Amino acid sequence: MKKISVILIIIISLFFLVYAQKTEILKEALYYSKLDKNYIKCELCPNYCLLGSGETGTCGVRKNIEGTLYSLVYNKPISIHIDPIEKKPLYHFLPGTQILSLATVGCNLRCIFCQNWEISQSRPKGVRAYEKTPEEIIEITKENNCQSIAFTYTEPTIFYEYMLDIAKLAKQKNIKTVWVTCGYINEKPLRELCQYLDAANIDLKGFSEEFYQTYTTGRLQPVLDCLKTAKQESLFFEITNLVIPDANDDPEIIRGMCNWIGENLGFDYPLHFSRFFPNYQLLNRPATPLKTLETAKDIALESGIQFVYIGNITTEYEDTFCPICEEKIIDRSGYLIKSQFLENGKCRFCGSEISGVFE
Amino acid sequence: MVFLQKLVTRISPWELPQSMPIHFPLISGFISSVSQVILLRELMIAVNGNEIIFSFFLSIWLLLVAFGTFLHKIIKIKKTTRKNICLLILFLLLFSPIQFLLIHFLTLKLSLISGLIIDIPTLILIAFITLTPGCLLIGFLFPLNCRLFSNLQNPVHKVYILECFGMILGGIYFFLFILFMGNFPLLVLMSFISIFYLWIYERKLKFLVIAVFLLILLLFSNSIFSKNYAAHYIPQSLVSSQDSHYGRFDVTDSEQQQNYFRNGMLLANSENKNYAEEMVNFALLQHPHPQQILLIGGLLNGFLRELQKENSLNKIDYLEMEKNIIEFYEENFPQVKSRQKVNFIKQDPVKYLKNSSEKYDLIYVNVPDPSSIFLNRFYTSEFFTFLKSHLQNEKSVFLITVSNSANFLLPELAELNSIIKTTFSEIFENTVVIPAKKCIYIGSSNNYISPDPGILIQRMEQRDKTGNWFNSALIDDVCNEFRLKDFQRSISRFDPVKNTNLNPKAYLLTILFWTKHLNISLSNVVNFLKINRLILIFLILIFIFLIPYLSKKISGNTINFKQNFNIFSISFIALISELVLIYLIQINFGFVYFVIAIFTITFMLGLSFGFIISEKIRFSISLLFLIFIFILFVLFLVSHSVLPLIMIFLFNTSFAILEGLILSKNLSEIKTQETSKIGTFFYFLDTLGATSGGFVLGFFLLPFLGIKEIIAFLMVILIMNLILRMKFRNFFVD
Repeated sequence: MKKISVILIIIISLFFLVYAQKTEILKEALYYSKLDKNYIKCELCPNYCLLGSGETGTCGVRKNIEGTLYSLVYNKPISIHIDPIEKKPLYHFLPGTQILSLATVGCNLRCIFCQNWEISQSRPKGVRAYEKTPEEIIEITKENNCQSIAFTYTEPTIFYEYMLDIAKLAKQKNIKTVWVTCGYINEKPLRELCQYLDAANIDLKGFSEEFYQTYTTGRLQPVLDCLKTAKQESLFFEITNLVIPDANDDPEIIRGMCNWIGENLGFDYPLHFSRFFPNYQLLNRPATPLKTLETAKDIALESGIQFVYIGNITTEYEDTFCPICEEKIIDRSGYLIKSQFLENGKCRFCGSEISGVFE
Repeated sequence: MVFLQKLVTRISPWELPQSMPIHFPLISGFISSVSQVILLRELMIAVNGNEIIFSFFLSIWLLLVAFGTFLHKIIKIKKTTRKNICLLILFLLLFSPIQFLLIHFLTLKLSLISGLIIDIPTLILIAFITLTPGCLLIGFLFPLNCRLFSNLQNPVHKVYILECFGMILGGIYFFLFILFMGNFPLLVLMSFISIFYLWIYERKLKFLVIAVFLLILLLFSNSIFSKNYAAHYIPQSLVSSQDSHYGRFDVTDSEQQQNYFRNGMLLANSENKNYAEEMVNFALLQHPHPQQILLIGGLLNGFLRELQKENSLNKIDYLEMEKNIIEFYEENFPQVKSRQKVNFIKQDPVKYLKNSSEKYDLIYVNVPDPSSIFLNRFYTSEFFTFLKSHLQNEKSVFLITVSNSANFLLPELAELNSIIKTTFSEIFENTVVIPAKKCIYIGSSNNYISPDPGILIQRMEQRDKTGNWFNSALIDDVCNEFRLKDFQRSISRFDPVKNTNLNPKAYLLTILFWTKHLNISLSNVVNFLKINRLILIFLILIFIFLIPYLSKKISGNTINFKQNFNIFSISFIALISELVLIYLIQINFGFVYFVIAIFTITFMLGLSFGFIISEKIRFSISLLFLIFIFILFVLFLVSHSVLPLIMIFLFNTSFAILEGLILSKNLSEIKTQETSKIGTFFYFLDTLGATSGGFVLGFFLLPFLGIKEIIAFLMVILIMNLILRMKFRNFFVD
């Protein structure tokens, strides 16, 4: 009898130990409301997932455990790299510097053309992640002489709590933070996040609800709202439009998008037209022809947008020109900055202020 | 065909009366083999399938044929007349072109988004809709033909052999004519020949009328096909489409960009300069002064044009087995050939390297990942060793590329890279990996090779190799310490496993990686089977027992379990053995279409021969099984060495003859007078056995087991047959 009691005690202790460890590594999520019968409603993104106990949201990383929502990826980045900032792409934010880039698994959209599907469509279970606290991320950034940190690759909104804590800490340590996002986030969490961010690259993947529903399972309107909120919060951002042949490359739709940007955000936010390459499930759609990208660029310039770039392909349209004197102020070749003619964020030729963060 | 018919009647050992309509089984076999090859090829192109998908379609084809045979049990035809059979053949011939055109039409209608990987349910739906009518008819015709021959002795034997002859004719027809016309005209011509042949023997005016109609259709077949096929690529415009033995090569145009497709699968486009610049220059910087280069693959990606920028080169040999690609390239980029010493070699790489004594400073292999057994042979230690022997000196470098992902290696891709790294490291003293757009594995005896960004930037500047894309920022991005360490971390957690010809581990991992594109849960199943191979073998064995058991029940015990099991399993084993031998030819001699065509024809001839001589051979079935086991055992012992072609042909012929003998002897043992019933169940089991063989080999055996293990597995099944047959009294003779 004694032996059985001892064994039982050991088993129970082990159970509590494991349970304690489990609860220790999980971080309670922000932005959700509790409902009846242990149901909760996640209010972080426009998906508004309604989760019963034990269920995980569309993103695959926010789980309802007995009526409390937890982030399963806090402190668990799956990918940490040092990238040239031009790769994000950010052309008006500390050009020529390196940025520590990180992501966890999961995503709140299901884009069939995802260029990072290995990360976005993976789930925490079965994937070997790093264990890095926000403090450790700051340390790595400093050790590698990076001036900034990017939350990128997949949709960073899904690791909101981790991102927020890193951004807060980075602010204290004078390290800048960048949010590379699809803009699928609700207003309240976005406004809180903007207090700590320095820049963003927001994907405007297309300009029709039909495109968003067919290709991403998301909706367009929340992304447009996100862009407007980011402007209201004075966050500097650049916009990326991945041009996919026969999907979102209709010149009239692109014109509509550029007009909307001009009317609602202004003309000085840089706009990148990125070349699509076959990936994930859209493997048999050819890459975007250069001519389509050039047409898109012409439309954007006609609409009055000042800084228009073509990305994912080497062309002459990767350089920055002063919108006033039309001189080349940043000469790029791929990720390389060959020369820069800016002083305190102003054109060295005519002194005009250039939109962006250059110091 | 008429000649063959006369020949068969003359030389036949079974006294075939002149009045016997032997043209029916001949035509059935002919139509069956031609339409099978053409429709399956077209399906593959329409859904952008790979080898696994081909196995899958082939299985569906055979399954439907088996079901067609089985229909005979459900649909009772009181009297079998020549008229009935003629009508069914007529339907079959008219269905074929319709089925063909339906393939692209359905693919377009059912895939909601163009360019998307087609999901498995849609794939099944397309295959079933397009294949069902023809396959059911082919299957249904067999027992009907048997009934027509029921006055003769062993009618099922005779119909089976005649069908085999028809199939052989079909194979020869396809092999010869594919070089001159596309798939659709070939199919219409097949229909015309068959109808005309029917008319010669049946002398019915309606056949002549239909033959004339088909002849007219043949004249317009190219334009009909072009319209039907071009719709597949809309909004791109189809510039050219050419068929060859290896498949189809298409070129489309979208906004002045050319896109290249092989068998419907996107290969590359004309505006891919960044990729070529990155992949070629990382390679060139690994040799101090390359002069002679062998490039395998990468032509359409612009590798050759990029290589030609290197002034030090004296000679570039470009190796490509698909002559359509080279011809297209020479036609459209004539400056490439005139600019520098480029030598295009239109051969299979294995075959070329085996016969060539050329030595190179740099050999660069850029072929698709080992997603098929055919491609796996370029990633094996045998192939690496082979290539090493073609390196000029100790400074020479060998490079091969494998898929990479930009920011995170999925476990499957990481393990694939780990296998290639292990295999590579065993052959070369020094190895380096550069995780660029694709991972570049670099091997050399010299330690000049390096992934160090500082060294590479220095070399790039010294040799003036800075490009628009390939520059110091790119080298820093690709080769920074962080990325290299992360890559090592990802691949180092796996046990070192080597990829060999007989144990194609890389093939399995590539399949696993691909299943992730389709469905995550499916890849979980595959992962489970990979870890629990014994469970897999056990499940296959249960399956092999289950089908004959069910067949026995359905047949109302007409054929006993022993015979059911014998027929089913011998068809299963023979098909797997044939495919394993084809694989051995590929790895030892390269993919030579002519040899494989002869090989397949030899198998069919061997099978027919086995049937023909079965009455003369007094060996018992048990002894035949024992001989089969012995030959398989010999193959097991010698399979790791390079076998002479003649020996592989001998194995092939022996397996075919033994299959013919065992099937024939089992048929003779069946004690019932109902010819059509025997025909139904025999053909049903035979087809189902082959179906299962193709399916199990493609999906499970090859990816999960090595060649030796497969042979051993086949021996186990044969031993089971032997145990069932054990009758010591008459073990050696009937």
